[in-house]
Amino acid sequence: MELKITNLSKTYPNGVQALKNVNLTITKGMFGLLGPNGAGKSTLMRTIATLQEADQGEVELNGINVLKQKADIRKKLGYLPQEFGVYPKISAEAMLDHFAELKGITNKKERKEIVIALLQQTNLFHVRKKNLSGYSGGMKQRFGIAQALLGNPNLIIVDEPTAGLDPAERNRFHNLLSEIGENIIVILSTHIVDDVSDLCKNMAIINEGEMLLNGKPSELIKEVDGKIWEKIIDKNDLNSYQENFNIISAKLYLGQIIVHAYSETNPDAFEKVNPTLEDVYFSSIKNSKLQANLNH
Amino acid sequence: MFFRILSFELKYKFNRPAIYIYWAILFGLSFFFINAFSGLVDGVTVALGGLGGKVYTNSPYVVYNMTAGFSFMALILLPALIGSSVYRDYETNAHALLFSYPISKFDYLGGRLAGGFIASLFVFTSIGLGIWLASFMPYLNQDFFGENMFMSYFMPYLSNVIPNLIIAGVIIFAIAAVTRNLLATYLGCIALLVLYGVAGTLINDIENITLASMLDPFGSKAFETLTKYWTITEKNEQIIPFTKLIFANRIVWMGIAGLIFIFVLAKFKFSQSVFQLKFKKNSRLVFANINPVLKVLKLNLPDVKQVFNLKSRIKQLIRLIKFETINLVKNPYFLGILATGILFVLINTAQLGKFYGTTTFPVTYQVVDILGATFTLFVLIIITFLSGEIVWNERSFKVNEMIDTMPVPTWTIYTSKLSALFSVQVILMALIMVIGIIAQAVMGYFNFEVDLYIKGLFGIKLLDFILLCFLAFIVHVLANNKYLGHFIIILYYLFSSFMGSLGLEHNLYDFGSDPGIMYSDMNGYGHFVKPFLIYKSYWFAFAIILAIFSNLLWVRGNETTFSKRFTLLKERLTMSTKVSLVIFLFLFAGLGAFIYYNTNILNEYKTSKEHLLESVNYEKQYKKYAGYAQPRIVEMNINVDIYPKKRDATFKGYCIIKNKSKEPIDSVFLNYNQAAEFNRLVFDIPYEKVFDDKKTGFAIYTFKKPLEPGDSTYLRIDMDIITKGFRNSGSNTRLLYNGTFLTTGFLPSFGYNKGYEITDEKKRKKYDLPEKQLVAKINDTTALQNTYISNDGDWIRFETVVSTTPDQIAIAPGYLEKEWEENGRKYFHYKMDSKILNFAAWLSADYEKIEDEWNGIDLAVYYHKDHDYNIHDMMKSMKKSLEYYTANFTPFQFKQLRIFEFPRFSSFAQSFPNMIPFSESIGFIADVRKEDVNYPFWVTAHETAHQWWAHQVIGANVEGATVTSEILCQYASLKVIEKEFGIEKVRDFIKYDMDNYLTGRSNEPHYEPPLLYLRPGQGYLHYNKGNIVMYALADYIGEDKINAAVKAFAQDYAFQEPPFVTSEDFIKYLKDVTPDSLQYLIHDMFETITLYENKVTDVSYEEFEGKYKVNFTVDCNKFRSDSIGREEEIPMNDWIDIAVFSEEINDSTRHEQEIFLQKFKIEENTKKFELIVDYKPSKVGIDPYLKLIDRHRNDNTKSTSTLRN
Repeated sequence: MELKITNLSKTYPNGVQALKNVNLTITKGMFGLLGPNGAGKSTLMRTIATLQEADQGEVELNGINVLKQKADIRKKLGYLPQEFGVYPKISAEAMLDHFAELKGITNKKERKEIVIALLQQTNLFHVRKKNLSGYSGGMKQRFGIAQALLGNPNLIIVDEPTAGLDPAERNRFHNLLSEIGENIIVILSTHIVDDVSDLCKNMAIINEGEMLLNGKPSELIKEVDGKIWEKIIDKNDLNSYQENFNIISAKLYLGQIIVHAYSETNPDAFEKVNPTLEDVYFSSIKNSKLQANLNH
Repeated sequence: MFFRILSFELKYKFNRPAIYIYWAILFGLSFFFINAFSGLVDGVTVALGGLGGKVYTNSPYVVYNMTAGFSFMALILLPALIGSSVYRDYETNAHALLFSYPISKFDYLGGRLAGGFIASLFVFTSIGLGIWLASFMPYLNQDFFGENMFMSYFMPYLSNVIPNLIIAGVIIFAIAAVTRNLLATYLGCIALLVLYGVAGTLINDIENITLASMLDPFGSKAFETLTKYWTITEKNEQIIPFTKLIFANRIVWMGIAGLIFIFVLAKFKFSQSVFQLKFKKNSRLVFANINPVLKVLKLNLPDVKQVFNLKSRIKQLIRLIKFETINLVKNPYFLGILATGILFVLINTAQLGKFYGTTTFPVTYQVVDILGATFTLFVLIIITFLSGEIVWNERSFKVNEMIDTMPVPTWTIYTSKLSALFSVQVILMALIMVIGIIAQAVMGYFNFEVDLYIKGLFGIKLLDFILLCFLAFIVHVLANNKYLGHFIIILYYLFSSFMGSLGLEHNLYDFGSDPGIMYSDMNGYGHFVKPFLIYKSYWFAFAIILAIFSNLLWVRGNETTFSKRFTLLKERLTMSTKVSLVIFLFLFAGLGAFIYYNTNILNEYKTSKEHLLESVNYEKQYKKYAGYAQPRIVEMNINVDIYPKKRDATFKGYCIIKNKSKEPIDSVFLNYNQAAEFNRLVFDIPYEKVFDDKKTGFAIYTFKKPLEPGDSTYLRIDMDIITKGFRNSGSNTRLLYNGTFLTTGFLPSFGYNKGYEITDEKKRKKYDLPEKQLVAKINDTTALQNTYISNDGDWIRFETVVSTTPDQIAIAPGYLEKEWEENGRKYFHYKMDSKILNFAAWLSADYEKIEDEWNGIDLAVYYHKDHDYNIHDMMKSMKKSLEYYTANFTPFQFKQLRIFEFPRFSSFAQSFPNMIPFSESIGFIADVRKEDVNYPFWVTAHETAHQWWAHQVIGANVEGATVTSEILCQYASLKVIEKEFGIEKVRDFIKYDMDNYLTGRSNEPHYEPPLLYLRPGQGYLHYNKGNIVMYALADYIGEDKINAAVKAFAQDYAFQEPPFVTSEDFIKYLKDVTPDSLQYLIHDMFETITLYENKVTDVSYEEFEGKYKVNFTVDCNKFRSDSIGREEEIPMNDWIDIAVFSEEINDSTRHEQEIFLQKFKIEENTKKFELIVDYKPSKVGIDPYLKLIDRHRNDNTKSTSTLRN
């Protein structure tokens, strides 16, 4: 089972090119799509979720043309949108039951069973009779994943599900996601590196509509092994460091700044560090910008 | 700070396009209306805002009315113009920031309100400007316009628009400040307008005009009170003054607005959530659930089957319909609109079927009609609003992305939403039905015809509403912007209501329309059903085509641009969609073609303009034949076969025509019904048809040898009236399944017919027609040769055989000679033994009857089986009338008198020789159990009197023709009422007559003649003024003397040959019995238009030797008016009633009774009285019983209690 994206491009009416010739093959298991805000993640997610049209390119799931055979894809799809609301004055149980019917679970008994099971396993059972509008952010996200799991989806898309969740709630959510079967494709789009490193077997990094990297996190980390250098510097020196070195990230640490640089060799009294996925992420974005600047 | 906020607000408002768009819309509307009603479109007569007749479009009265009317409707803009000034801060969340600044509440609220008000005033100036500019348009007929006066345009703003903007503006502003919700402001605005409508209805019932005028927050009642009886001259010349009443009203309501503002000022708090109306506590679930330790769970879901077959599709559809319907029904704003609507309907229910202050029984069709009609406005609002809500529901709650990715076909979503909107309509209809049944029960009427409710509401109204749902829904899908969608729908409503005025009259392009359907208890829905259903099928086919397209363009996903949706449309266009599109296109086109075949090929389709041009051409071409002498019918022997099921009739037989003139007749000009088929139309003497205009139905026959004076011949007629298919509008309601009512009007007539001429002077001028003499002068010797009923004959011998189906009875004038069945049809042979007027009718219906007899005269009432409520009153009235009329006038000329009910497609009763057809709507269902005026009794007495006044003495076809018929019938019936019910009941009638006369002359389209010279058709003169005048004369001169005069007149003129009698002949008899001292009355009442302003001022009384001395002053003014209402005061020298009333006579009821009544001669404008009376006086009056025409009747009496010394 695989989802194959070929030469996908999309430009919005306001001129923003959200996807630039994206090629990607996604296989079973949890796939992380990492990128900063505005990178085109949601556009890609929505396109796969049949909500948006592409200007060119193809998306194919097991021989089904996602862009054309929308009805067929929807039967196999579970989708948790980046941002969603709820109908007013409706309980989680009733809403889930409603969604289940729309998903084609028209047998009443089966529907009831799955609704109960999902509510229990997303830990919402005790509040199932309460109005959804009163749910906290984490509960709402869990409800969202519950509805995405309805039916037997082959493809689950979760778009930025952890944004805005507190650490405990995020933890719970990761826990839930990790439980989703290994036999289906789960695409998790996020701008939080930990989401991917915690959960994903495969990943891709996208920025400004372009696919920058794609592979297994461990392999991608291996690729930058030995090229990431760290140094603690004074705040005032940041500018000169940024001018002189290929700084990929800088973060505050006890009033000073820890910078990471990408380089084949030690730039200047830096310390070599074991790269993390974060370094992969930042270096790929930084390098793509450099590349872009060079091309101009 | 106030001014800084104000100027900021103004800059904000004036920098945005909205305000200019509103300005342009209002300007366009007012400009367009003035154009449309000032001759832009021919063939359309619209009387709106007092327009019409000789009143100028730019007269102070019309400008005031139009400005006030438009600005009233435009109040719906106030939420956007004024509400938004305070609402905007909440919407943009600017209030969090703004409220932390040091500004005072007054500066903030006052500045915002003032800014909103100024912006609104700017927008509202467009109305006056639009009306003003329209008056200069060179293409308009300048006869519609008089001189432009600045004050005409200024006064409506000063006394209406500005105060109303302040009043409504403050209320809207207050709602916005309280609720912080734009929609609530809109609903508040709708509620304000509706409550105004409700109040208007209630106010109408309030006897006290001052109170009513004060209660109306928008001041229109005060304006109405002022101008109700204004004549043409006053309307054209008088600037609307600031009367005490208008001024007081404006001050009081602006004061109330001020109080509201102060209240808001006091209650308003600069915090983020001030006095928000909370119905429920927020139920946010917050759990302190910090447990960072990972608890491994196992996702273990039961197996489920996803089924996507048809059965599950249907299950999904049903689920969605339920879901969507519940969403709609629970919408709080829907409930708000609905509650307002129900309130409005309930209040209107109290007004069911009033006629002369008497209610009819709330029969089901009336309840359905009235409730359906009053509720329609709310249904339209609900459809507009809910269609937007339901199309946008997912997007408003941001669940669209989840729903859109569900494996549900788009058509399921689309259909479910549309069906939910339909379901709401079904619920609304059920609600109306329940309200109707409750209303009937409350009024003590228990014959609930549930089947009629179902047919009328679910079979007719519902279809219209569902079609509108389709349209509104589709507009919202296509517009893809909620507010734009609402706006387009409102524009459509406006457009469709004025389509007809623009000359777009064919129902084939008026979405959802039909040729009309009307229920009558006698005829059911009858022949209306078939065309109605065909038209509706046609529109449903169209609606479904639109629905299919909009389903294809439905926004699913995030692609909302039209071009993308259009690309998707092509993708979504599946084979089955194509097939259904083709099917419905085929249906639509097929039904359209079938309709066209019926309306335009089987029948003739003419627009109003074509009708107008036809009249113009008729007059231009044939007027030259007007003076030619024509033969007259002296005997009619026509057999009529009525085929109710097919709605056909044949007229077969002959008329004997005679040359009654003094010259030979060589040509006959025949007007004939062009829709009829003539198998035979021949004369017995040699003739030749020399001209035939088949389009207008006008032919000229020339005799080979002229018909000499005194000679006669036969005109043989064999004519079929065949109903073919159906028409675009206006089906023949005289030929029905049950209740056919044919008259001699269907037969060919002789000579040029002035009745076809158009009477509107402006149109005549436009088409180069000379000014029309609306009626022949009283000394016109040619016109004196004809009665006002018919130009074809006067007294004729009459015989007929009329046939119909065996389940019905057929009737015609005359006595039944023979009745038989033959070939499955029933035949009735009627013959008259004496001469009758050339005015006959043939009826056929399934009747019940009651019979009785009075002094050898057979009496009968033929009625529809359920309509037996008042038949005994009618019977009694016939007897009482015959008794009074035979005793006081002349003998009754027939041996039989019968009343026949006919369906309500016309609502009149009409007297034919020995028969009175009587509409089911005007007496048969009257509820006279507790009312003052028993009008079935009165109408019967009036129509019975016509057997004398018209059928014995008939006026010539000149001015004043109906003086000797209608006025004498009014007098006769008044006397019968007085004998039966007492003088108090007569006085109740007179109150209505006074009001109807004064409003009638105010709406006169041409000119008001003195009573003696009235034109036929001036009902307000011959019915209303006639009644008042005869009532007064009988009182002043005495019933006996009047009766003596009337009797002598009848004896002298009954059954006379031409020239016929005139009103001047009659008045001589009245003058003969009138004493010299009262001769002025005849002059005032008949020969001129005379009005009085009588009132009592200064009343006081004191005890005086065990009695009471009452002192009071009366003010009297007398005016003479010309024909367009220009008045001149004339000296008083008149006898007028002075009366004193007391509550003391009847201690238990305290019912006021007259204790003194006497006529005094008033020679001065002011006169003081001192009277001694036996009881404690409660009220003093001058002319309290309204014998003289007086526009202000309330001041004719004055209570003593109010001004006790």
